[in-house]
Amino acid sequence: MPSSRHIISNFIKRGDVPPAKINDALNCTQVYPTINNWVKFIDRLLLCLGALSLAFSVLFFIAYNWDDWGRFGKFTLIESLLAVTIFLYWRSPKDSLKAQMSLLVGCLMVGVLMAFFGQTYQTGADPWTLFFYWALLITPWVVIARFAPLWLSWLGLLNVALSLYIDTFGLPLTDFFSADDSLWVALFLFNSIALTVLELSSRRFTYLSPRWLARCIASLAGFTITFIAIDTIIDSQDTSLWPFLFWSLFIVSLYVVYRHFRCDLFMLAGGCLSGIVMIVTFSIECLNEDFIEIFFLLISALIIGLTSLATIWLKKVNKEILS
Amino acid sequence: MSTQQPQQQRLWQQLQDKDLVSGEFQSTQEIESPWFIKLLLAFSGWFASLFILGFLLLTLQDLVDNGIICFLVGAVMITMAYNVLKNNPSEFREHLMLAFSFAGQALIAWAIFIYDSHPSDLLLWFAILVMQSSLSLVMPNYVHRVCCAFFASIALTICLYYLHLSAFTSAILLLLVLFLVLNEWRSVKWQPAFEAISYGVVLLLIPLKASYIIGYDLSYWLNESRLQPSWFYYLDELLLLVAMLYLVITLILRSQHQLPFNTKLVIMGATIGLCLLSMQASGITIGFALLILGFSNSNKLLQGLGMISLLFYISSYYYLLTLTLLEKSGILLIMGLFILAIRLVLLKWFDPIQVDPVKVGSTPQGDNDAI
Repeated sequence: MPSSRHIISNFIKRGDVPPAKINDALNCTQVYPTINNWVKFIDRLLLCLGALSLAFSVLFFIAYNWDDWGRFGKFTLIESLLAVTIFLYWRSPKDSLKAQMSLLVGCLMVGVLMAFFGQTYQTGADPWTLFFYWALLITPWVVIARFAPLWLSWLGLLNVALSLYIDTFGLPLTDFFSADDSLWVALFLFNSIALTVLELSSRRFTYLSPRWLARCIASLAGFTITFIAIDTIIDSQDTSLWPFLFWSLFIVSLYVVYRHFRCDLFMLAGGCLSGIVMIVTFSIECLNEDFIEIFFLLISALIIGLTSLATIWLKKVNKEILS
Repeated sequence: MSTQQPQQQRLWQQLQDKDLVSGEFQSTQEIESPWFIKLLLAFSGWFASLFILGFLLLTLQDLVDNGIICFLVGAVMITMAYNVLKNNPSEFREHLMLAFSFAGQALIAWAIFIYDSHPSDLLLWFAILVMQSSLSLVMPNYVHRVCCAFFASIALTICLYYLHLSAFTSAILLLLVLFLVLNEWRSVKWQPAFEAISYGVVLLLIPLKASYIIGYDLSYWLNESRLQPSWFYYLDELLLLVAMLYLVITLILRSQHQLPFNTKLVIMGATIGLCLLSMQASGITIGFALLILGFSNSNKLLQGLGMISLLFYISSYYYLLTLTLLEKSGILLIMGLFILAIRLVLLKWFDPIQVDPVKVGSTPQGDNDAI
């Protein structure tokens, strides 16, 4: 849906609002925020920034590894802060930003505590376990916080854990993909599953409905599968067709879901970009050095042609969405 | 009836009630493309221009060394693009002309750099700055303006570097963005240009500050080491403070609510305190300014950019090499406590019901209901 700003801009540009009254029009329609909106905004901004500054302050302090402070003092500091965040959550109104930020800082403190524990007692555990168990331990808090940024951070932790795990142990997929691609394939599959679960549950759980959350996950999944497919095109020794199969499946699913079931222009634009990049990379790979000048011209025409087609289609879909 | 028509009608009614518009409501048919479609357009235009440039350089191999010919070919391409773009061309022609213009600009830049008797690097980059700034104002295309403003900002940054003033770059760019956004409605005709140029400058400002934080500043990219006095850094931060004050004062003056003098003083004091405290945490002032600026004009894109940059600056602060982790920890601790203290004061003093009793619960919902 177009914003008030966009609609008022159109009224002004059409000459409906006299120039002397533009500021009044912007104030009256709240394009320029009211004092109440300002107070609400500044309140939230300061809360988020203040809480994050304190959390990062503790993180940096522990990372500094200051000898003058013994391990007992550091454990006390982290655990006390953890207790404070839980107390604040308990005392805050349910689902308020204050409660959600308290849990977010609490989740960060769990990670700091685990990292410091591992550093102090040299457990010898693999690095991936830190992130995996961190994500596992904070899962109940992530669920009760009902806070989209915390869900995204949780997913980020699992992505890091998965990357580190595959980096250490690899995946039994080398019959289908190169060793390097296995990591990307695993990340693609993981994020695609996460996206599917999110889309299926976001209608039921409204706190998962902000579109930026799905868009972030889809961008990550789209980037990884496009990267694998491009890598396969460029690498002449890699003749596997699996990356293209996965890529095609992803693009078709993207089209079907976001064109027919839940219209989302961003997702469709991302799919178009991925398609254009794939076709252009494939064309560049077919480069014939004897006619390189003509080839350059053809490639530029191809890029412009494909983008024009994509833009025409996306604008048509946008018009349909708004009509 | 389109889904946006009831919203348009509601806003029209609000304006009509206040006697800000006259006549009957007419639905606007213009549908603006979302930012990501514009980004797709810019990306492809720029990428296609590289291949057009490759084609020209390979076809005119013998003439490439001749600066005058490169300049003339580039100028012809830009003029052609201007003539086509001003007539609302079809999608394909628009994309083609974007690519043509970018390739033409690259040819002119090449001609400037191979010019035999150039006096200094500063003058070369100044010439690029003049060219890109002029194009960002003149070219009748939104995406083109954003890209040219971005290139002009790069040229300005390098000019300031050669003038030994690179420490002031971020403050100058931020002031420019603030000026453009806060005055975007001064001229209805120039509003799209102001908006596009401000995005172009912001797109350089954010990574520029980030590159400084992670240790890859301009000296690294230009492969030169030019040490600047350390007090330059503080001067830059002071200029950022001035930029923030300019933003806050303008917003206070623009507000329809007459705030008490003490309240204004507290707002200014809090702004100064926050900027001074974040002096060592580079970038936070910029992120803060962009976020507030975006909110003040209901510009969601600017708000998003401000939020992302703020998160990035705080987390990348870890890698800043000029301070130890203990010092950074202390700075963040004081800053966090100060910010939360301001919030407490805000909640105590600025009870919205007291400040704006008429509007609570009675005003329609705008774009700025929440972050």
